[in-house]
Amino acid sequence: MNEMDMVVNRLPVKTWNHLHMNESSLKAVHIAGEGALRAAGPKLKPDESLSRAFDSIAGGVGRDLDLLAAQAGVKVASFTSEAGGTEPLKLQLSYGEGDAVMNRIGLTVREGQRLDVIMDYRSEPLAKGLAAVQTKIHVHTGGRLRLIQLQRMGDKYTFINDIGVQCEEDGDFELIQMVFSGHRTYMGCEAALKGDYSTFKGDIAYAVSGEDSLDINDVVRHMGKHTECEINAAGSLSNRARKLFRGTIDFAKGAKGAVGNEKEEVLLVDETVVNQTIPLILCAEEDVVGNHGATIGRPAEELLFYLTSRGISVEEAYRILKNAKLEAVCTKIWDETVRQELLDFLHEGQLCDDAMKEDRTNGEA
Amino acid sequence: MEEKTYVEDINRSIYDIKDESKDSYRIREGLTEEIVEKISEEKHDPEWMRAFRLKSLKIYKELQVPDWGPDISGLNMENIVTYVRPNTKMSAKWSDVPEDIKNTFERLGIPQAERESLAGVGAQYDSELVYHNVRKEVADQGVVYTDMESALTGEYADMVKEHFMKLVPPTDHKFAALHGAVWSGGSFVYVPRGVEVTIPLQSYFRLNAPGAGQFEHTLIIVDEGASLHFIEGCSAPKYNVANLHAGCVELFVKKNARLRYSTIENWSKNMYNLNTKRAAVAEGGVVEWVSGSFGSHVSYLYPMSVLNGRGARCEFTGVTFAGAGQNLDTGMKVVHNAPDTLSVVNTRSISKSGGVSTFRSSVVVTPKARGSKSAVSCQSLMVDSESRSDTIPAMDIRTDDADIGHEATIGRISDDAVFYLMSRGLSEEDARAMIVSGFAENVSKELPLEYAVEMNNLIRLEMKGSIG
Repeated sequence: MNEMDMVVNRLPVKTWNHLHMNESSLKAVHIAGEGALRAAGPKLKPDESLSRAFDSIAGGVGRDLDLLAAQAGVKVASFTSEAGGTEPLKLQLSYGEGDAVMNRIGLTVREGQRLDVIMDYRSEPLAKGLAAVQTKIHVHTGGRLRLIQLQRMGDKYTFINDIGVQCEEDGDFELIQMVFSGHRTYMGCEAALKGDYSTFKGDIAYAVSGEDSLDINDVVRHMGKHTECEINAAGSLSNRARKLFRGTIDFAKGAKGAVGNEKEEVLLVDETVVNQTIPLILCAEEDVVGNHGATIGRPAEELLFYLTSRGISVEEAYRILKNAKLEAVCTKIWDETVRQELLDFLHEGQLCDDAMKEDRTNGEA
Repeated sequence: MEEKTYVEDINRSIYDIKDESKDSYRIREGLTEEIVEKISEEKHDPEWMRAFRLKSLKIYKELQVPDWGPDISGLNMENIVTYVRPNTKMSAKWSDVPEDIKNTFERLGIPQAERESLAGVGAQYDSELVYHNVRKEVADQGVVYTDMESALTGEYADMVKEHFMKLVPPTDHKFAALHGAVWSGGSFVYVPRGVEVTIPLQSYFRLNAPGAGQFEHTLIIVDEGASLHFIEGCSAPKYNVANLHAGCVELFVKKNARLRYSTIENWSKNMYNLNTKRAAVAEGGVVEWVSGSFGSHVSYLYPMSVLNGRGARCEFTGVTFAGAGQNLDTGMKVVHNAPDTLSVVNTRSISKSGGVSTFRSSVVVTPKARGSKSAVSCQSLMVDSESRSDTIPAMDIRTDDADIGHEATIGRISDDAVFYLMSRGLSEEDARAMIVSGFAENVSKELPLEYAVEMNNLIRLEMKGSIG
């Protein structure tokens, strides 16, 4: 059995080692095979050229995941846009107890075409295992890809979610990622805006609770002129949850007229949470505008007072506010069916907190 | 054709005047146990300090150079002279200072500043202080302002021993260990309980010897309810060989005390500035850092505040100007380690002519720091595309009851602003120069220009632009 120690989610530029934010590590990772991928929607042709060039597109998680895939012999399942296609491609990966699986998915958007993709990762609530997914994307000139990723993994699941994107001239990539559950989650997205006027827009929403952790590394490299990016991350941490958000906007020399904006809002619910945030702006070009803003903390006392004065308990007020972070991103989901399913999921109180997890572990729920 | 503003470098002519090296003692290059023993012997260290130096040297050899900052491979400790004693003894009268050294400080405006606006002055030349004086009325308040060597063996020896390198232990990083091994010079300040020192004290560090290092140690204790403004200035002429500055500043701000620590750093562009500054702030205490980084070839400089007492506060105001051949990695660190603590950070950086400016920070909020607040703002201006500007702010929050805000912006001179000013009658050249000047002014106005003429010289950026 081949096991691999991995370093993932490396910051593009290091800082003090004692902060433990430069990278994360995973010990003795073993992949036994590929996860069962179910594709629904349009029958899209594969793109052999992307399959061959898969490793040449860098992902946010890092090269070690490419090595792991090579070691495990994971094949690329690729999908190519079709002219006039409007129906979204739905890819579902359902994981079981004890899985140790990986998938590699290639998405190609041909010149001037559009492609919408929904990727849904889930496992049984109590399942334990490890799953990794690499998604490499090539958006050709004038193309647009909209990608939604939904994560509902078990309380004991380690999940690695890697995205690498290359956008040519006037290519657009929109990403929505929603993390509802999962024990150890490592997410990385690297977007290379190579072509002039190419854009990236990313929304991340999460609710991390219990002993769970979420480790994020998003990197946008502005290489072409007049490229634009916007990264918004928002979520809540409760119980003993930990979250590390690394967000980098990198303006390369020559990226004249580029604009990058990054924003993070973190709601801290319990005194035992750990929040780490490190937003980088790297700049080698004069003619750019880069902004970052972060707001981290408890809800404002006035807001809590307002809610409780209307008869809402403090616990319920917190639940509302946690859901609000997710709902704000839900409303951006362009697929009505998925949007409604997620809103129902939230309104029905299916989002777990620590008490629910303990109940579940004890067989009471 | 795209038009650009050219912002001149700081006029360094007065800093680059070199004195002929007429030191009375110069230890050989390199760093060995023998050299450290010799420094200790030359300085008549008490035994505990000799042992401390040797222990620090051992730690230095065990630690690695940082793997995260600017390249310092051009710094070879085998070529650095760690101790150079000038050919004079410390004096309390400028008239007793040798003519050439006195002229250097006269050019820098230090004696004039002392006469006009300072409560006391310490002037270090290479490894030793050559002048130290404090106004009588300040001394009468019980304020102690003396050189570190005198403090080490004098009336305050126990206080020095209790505090020396306790905030910045030699294990902190490789160059803190180096400092512990070869430190020399610097100032000791003690402000007694309840005493308000209304005019600033200033220490000025001048490194004249080529290929030498300066390792001054500044230890300031501001007792309960007291207040002080301390100014630090430093410069050196430019040589073709690397010089090293690895000073250490330890500030103890006691309950309800207040300390403003202002620095104007203008080392020459062959200098590796690997300085460490740290403050421990007790309940209700306030530390204010005002930091201007203009010189040196490479800088690693991150003044740190450890807010240990309820309601302790820190404010950091900084400006960094990186020009040709400079890689200035500056910023700050704060640890909120008690309830209701507050940190406010406001920095500006300007990169031009191939200079590299990096803002690096960390805000750590421990579980004990409930009710704490932090606001960090850093703004960077790129003057041309030959330069580089990076922002690397880290936040580590370990309590829910905290309010943490961070904002960073990077950009160029706004065309709209230039257009607006031109529509009001300014030339494009003047408009761009005014915008750059205004960008830095928000911070530079906090610098204590009125206290030292040298700082005026330094901040007088040649903002007059030229188009082309």
